[in-house]
Amino acid sequence: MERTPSPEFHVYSEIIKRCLTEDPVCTPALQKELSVLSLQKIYVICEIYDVTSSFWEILSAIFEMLHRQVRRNGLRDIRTLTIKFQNLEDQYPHLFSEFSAVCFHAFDKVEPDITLTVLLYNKQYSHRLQLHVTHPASAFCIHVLPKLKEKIRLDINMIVTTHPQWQNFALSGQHYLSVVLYFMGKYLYYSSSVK
Amino acid sequence: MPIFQSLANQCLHIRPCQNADIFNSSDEDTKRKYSEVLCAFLCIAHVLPLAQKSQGLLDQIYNGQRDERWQGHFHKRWTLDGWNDHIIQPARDAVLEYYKVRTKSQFLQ
Repeated sequence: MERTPSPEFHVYSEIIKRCLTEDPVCTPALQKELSVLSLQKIYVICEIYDVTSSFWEILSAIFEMLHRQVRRNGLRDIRTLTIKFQNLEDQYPHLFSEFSAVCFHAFDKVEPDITLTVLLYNKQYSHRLQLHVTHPASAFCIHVLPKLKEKIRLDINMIVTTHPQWQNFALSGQHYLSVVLYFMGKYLYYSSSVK
Repeated sequence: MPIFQSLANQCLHIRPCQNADIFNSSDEDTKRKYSEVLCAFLCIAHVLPLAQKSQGLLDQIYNGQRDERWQGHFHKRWTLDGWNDHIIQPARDAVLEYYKVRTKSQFLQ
């Protein structure tokens, strides 16, 4: 079936494109657009076009841009910085509040979101997979979802650990299956480079 | 073919670094590659038993159970000779135990 991009998609793709540029400036125009941006809509659009992995990159870029905007003001005082971050959340409350809703939606789908699932698996089990330093496998670790910025990992970790419903992120068999498939793909990818 | 079986079949034909001597005598780049392969293997060995409650996984295994080649050789081919340390071994045992229980007896002969 041929997919026709919705008008909304074009609007969002423009915003997203600008957010993903090298060093986007949060201009008043962009601020206005961000004020009505819906993460849920972006996720739905990504689902329609079967590019949900891109959603997390987009999200990562948006958050990074917002935080960069705070840092750009040359703030050194941690107290001021905290206030600025708070202002940021106050300015774009819908973005921050929607984030957890999007995570739950992505997690509860019949076919769980692979990116979120792998991140949650990594979060919950990485301590059990740590090896002795002398073990050859510990020399170089797999970078799980390397495209994602550290910021988004921290945000997801924060959601998982502080959200009142964090227990809902209990991984099921279906989630583990997604993780198996992810690491099998990794295994094949890495093995192909071994002589 | 279900994606799990397809990936598992591809994995069967790959053998990671066979022993510590080979690893230690390799250059840094090769060590990195072996290390990444082992890391991925470790994650698979850890998460595969956890995935056994997935109806999706069981469906994929049993829908293709006529493929004796895959089931009969899964444990034999997927080995890490020389790497059976106290971390890898229990994880691998858990995987093999799972398949021993789940695999029909005729496939074990």
